[in-house]
Amino acid sequence: MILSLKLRQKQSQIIIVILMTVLLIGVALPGYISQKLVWRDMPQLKTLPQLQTVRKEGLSLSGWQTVKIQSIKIGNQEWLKQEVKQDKKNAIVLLFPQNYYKDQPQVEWMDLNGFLGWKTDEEQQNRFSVKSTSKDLDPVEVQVKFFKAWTTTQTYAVAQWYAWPNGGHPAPSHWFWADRFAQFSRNRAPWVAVALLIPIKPLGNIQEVWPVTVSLGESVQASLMAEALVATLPEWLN
Amino acid sequence: MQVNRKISIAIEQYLMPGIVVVLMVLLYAPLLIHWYDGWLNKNIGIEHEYFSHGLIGLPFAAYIVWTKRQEWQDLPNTSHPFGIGLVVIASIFYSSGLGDLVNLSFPLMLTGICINFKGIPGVKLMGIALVFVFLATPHYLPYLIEPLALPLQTFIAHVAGFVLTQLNLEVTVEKIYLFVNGQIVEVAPHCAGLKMLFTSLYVGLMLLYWTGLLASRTLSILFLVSAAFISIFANIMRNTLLTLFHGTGQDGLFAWLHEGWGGDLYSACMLGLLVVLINGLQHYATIDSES
Repeated sequence: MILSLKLRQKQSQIIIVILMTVLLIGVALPGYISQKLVWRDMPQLKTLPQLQTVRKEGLSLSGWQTVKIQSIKIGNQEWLKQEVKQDKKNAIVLLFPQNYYKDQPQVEWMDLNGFLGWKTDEEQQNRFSVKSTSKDLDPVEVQVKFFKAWTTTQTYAVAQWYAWPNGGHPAPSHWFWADRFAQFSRNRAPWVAVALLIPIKPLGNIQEVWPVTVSLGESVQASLMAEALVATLPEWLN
Repeated sequence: MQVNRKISIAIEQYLMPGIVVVLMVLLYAPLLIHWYDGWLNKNIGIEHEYFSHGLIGLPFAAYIVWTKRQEWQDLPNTSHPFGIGLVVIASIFYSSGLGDLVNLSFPLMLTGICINFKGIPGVKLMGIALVFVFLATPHYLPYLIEPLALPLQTFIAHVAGFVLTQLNLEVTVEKIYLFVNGQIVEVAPHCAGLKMLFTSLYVGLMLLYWTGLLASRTLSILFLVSAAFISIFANIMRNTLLTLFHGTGQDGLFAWLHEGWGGDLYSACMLGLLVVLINGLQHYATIDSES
C-alpha cells in the first residue's frame, strides 16, 4: 500500500519534470536563443500609419460630404473634428484614433464631457451592423451609447463607441477582450474612439434622428474598417 | 552496501526537488527579472505598477518559505491529482505567449509543484507564501476595475471641493472635475487611489503575518478595513492638496506631490501609519490575552 502510494507520487513527480522540460525546450529555450521573449511585449499595431492618417485627414464617408476638418485638443489629447453634411443635414464626427501600441481606451467619454461641458439625458444603448470587408466574415455588430446632450447654444443627439476591426462598443472592457483574443494570434485590435453629434431642435426627440445616426455610423465604421481597422485573419486561417 | 543505500535515499530526497528548482529558475528567471525591471524603471505600464508591492512581497514570500523549510521536510511525501492538473494549466498559460497568462502561470506552477510533493498539507503550509506571490503577480485586471472607481472619483472631487470651500477658495465641482480660479483639475482614474489601496492592503497583510495577528480573524479584518479607510482618506487629502496647489498656481509644489518625491513621501507616511496602527492593535491583543 505504502509502496504503491510512493510509486504514484514518484510518477506524478516524473510527469511534472517531463512537462517542465517540454516547456523549457519548446518555449523558453527558443526565446533564450533568439533573445525574443514574446511575453515581454504586446504585438505592434499593423495599421499604425493608417490610424495616423485618420488623425490628420479624417475619413472619406460614403453618402456624406466633408465640409471642414480640424484638430482640436480635448483633455490633453489631439482629436479630429470632421464636419459633414448630407443634403441639408449637418453632423459632426469626432475621432480619436489609437496613437501608440500600448494605448488603451480610458476616459475618452469623460474627456469629451469635460471639454464640451454639456448636460446629458435619455441615455440608452443602441446597435447597428456593418457589412464586413471580407466576405467570409459575419457582419460587424456595433453597439453605441446614444443620448441627448445640450450646451447653452445647441442640442445634439450623440452616439459614441470605440470602433475596432470586428466590432464596436462604448465600454473599454469590450475592446479589452477583443484585443486579448487578437493577441492569441500575435495580432492586435486597434481602436478609434468615435462620437457623432447630430444637431436637433432644443426639445427635439433623439429617436427621430436615429436613422440618420445609423447611416452616418455605418459609414464611419465601414470607412475605418476599410483601412485603419482592417480585420486581419489569424495566420492559420489563411 | 550501506553507503549505497544512503546515496540512493539521498538521490531520492534531493534529486527530484533539485531538478524542479533548476527547471523553475530556467523557466521563470527572465520573467521575474522582467517584473522587477518594470517595477523599478516603470517601463511596462500602469497596470504592471499596480503590483509594485511585489518588490518587497516576493522576497518576503521567499523568506517565509525559508523559515518553514524544516516543517516542509517533516511533512510526509504525498501527492494529489489536482497538482498535475495545475501544472498542466500553468504549462498551457506559459506557452500561450500572452503576458498576463505567462505571469499567472508562475503562482499556478508553484502551487502545482507544492501539491505534487507534499499534497494538500503542503499547500496549507506554504499557503501564505503562495498568497503573497499570487497577489504580486501582475495582470490587467486593474484596467477593467478602474472604470468602477468612478463613484470614488466623484466622491473625492466633492470632498476636496468642500474642504477647499472651507479655505475660502472659489471652487465648483462638476462630476470628477474641480474648477478653481479658472483652472480645471480632473480626478482621473489613476488618482482614485486604487494603487495605494492595493499596496496598503498587501503591506497590511504582510504586517499581520509578521506580528502573528493573522491568527485572529476579527483583528485581521479590523486592521485591513482600517487600512483601507486610512488609504482612501489619505488619498482624499492628497487630491485636495493637489487641487489647492494647481488652483493657486503653485506649480512647483504640484509637480513635487504629483510626480516628484513628495508622492513617495506621502506613500511612506501612509505605510508608516499602518505600522503605528498595528503596534496599537498588538498592544491591545496582549492586554486582552492577559486579562
